[in-house]
Amino acid sequence: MAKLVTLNNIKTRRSIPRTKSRFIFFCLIMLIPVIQFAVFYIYVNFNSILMAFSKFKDTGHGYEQIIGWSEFTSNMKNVFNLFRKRPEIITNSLILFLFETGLGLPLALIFSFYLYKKKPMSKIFRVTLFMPQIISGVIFASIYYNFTSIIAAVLNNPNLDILSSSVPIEVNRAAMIIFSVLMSFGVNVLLFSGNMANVNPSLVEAAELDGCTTFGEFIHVTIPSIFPTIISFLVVGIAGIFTNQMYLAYMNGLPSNLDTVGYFLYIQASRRNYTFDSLTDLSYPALSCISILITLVLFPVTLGVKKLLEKYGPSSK
Amino acid sequence: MENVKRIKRTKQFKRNSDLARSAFSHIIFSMVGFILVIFSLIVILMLLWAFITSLKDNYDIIMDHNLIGLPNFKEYGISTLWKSYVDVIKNFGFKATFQYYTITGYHYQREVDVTIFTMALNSLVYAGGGSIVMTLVPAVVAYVLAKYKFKLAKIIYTVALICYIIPIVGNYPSMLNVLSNLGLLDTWLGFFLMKFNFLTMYFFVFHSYFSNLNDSFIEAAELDGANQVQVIFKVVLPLAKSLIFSVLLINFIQLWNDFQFPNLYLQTHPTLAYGIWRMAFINIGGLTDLNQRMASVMTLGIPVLILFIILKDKLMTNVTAGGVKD
Repeated sequence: MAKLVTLNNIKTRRSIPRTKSRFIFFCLIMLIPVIQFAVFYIYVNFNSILMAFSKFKDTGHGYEQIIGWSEFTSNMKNVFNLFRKRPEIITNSLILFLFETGLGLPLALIFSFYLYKKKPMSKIFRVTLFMPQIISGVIFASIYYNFTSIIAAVLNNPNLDILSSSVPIEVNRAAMIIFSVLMSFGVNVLLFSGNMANVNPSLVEAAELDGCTTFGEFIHVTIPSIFPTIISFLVVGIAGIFTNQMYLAYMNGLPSNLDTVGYFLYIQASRRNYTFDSLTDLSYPALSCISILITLVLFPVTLGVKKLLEKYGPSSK
Repeated sequence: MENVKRIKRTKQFKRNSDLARSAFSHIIFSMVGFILVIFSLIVILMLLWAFITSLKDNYDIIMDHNLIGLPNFKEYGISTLWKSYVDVIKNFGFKATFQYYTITGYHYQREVDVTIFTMALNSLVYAGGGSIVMTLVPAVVAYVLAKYKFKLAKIIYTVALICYIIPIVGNYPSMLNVLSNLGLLDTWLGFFLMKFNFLTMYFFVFHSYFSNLNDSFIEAAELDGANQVQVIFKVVLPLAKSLIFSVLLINFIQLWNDFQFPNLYLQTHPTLAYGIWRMAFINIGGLTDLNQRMASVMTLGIPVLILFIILKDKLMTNVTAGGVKD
């Protein structure tokens, strides 16, 4: 029997109870997103684990997948052989992370504080810092690549062509790290300066009354107040150690000694190699092994770092 | 008397210390300002150089070694202003081919002659359609999970949060394998299904926003006889239109500039970003000259730059707001 309900002083009959109709609507709305999540997240990651335990055989009209423990050990052996021959792939990723955290983060905080304090030309700097995020990395990479060789030609000094093969690989690496750090400022600076704007003004006033200078306010008031955002930045940075491509994909033709893990994984995936492993290229099953290894390492590390920073880091309290 | 002198000396010392500390702060800020000026000059000069180079004639660069000066209109004529851009539009093209086997053994094969107009159209579908899906799906799902107080909603949100925290790296091979097995690789349907993903950073931004939204708006709409669909699309989403527009804009720009995703998953539907990358770093036909390369780069950059100049406040406000909510 339909329930009698009153809406706007008009008695009407609702055939389905309100909670039930809302639940049906909820399920209908969530159906496709949940299926999408189940297929493109859960199943894809499950398939990644399965592929790590597989070898593929080219049948001429597709691939035959053979799953087994010996396939997994063979894939892992190929992975370790490659990284033993090319350890620079991992060291480049770690060096990039160290520079982005050790140099990029402090600079981003200082620049953010400058913008937050509305110092001279801060509105212009906001725009120029954010511009590299908006204009494609392809554009800046192409301009940077060509501009550096033009500068070397104008000054008639080939050593200034910092992205060419005629200079040492360390110079190429430094050039790419500097480029990556410069390109990363935009969003970080804006995020930090946005957070700084929410610092409790009474804290700042109390610090000023205690004779604190602006620099002291930065160290003792601002940094502790925005430390949760800094934690997020560090956690995301750690999670991104092995995804950061150092903009190498944007500059085709640089020496392969500059490869980072993120760039290596991307470029190997684009080669669509299901079957062949060597000391320079890996098949999809071997790449899936790398994916699992990295996730197993990064997950506890990011959680651990987050917990440590939350426990021992400064706070506004 | 001695006490008075001591107090005066202490006050003088304190004043001098304050002045010294204040001077130190001024010096630090001046140095930071100087570094920011250098950074800004580098960014602006690089863009300016690229734009001016795109206006030059090829001979101007190669024969006259005019690498950083203004275009030589006297010798090469005013038509050099647009010659590189015309060359990019006329000559820039390539053949895109792709093939794979699905799990049923079906052989997918596609070959396309790509021009700059094809790529521009692909970019509009990719960036326009993709950004709408990437914005609306997290927004609607976030609202539903925030406002529909069912246990299932809490479970889904908790699972989403856990999955977002776990760093999954390098699952390209698996994704490519799944898409090719399903026959969705290199298809627009496959692309839109991949983007129909609610688990993004902005899902949590929307969830936070809708959690704090006053229920009285929704109750008032329901009392007026609105059904659930009308409540979402005529009441709730319009309330969040500023946030939705900002997220849409950021997603649009991100997709417009993206070339890696089309390179992996949409081989025969290349976007402008992919085409520009390919042209800038791989020789294609005669377009290897610096002025044409910079013209192609500007072709990609100028629309986004114009969008940025018009909407920069909205873009940058959203980033800072997103940071606060994060």
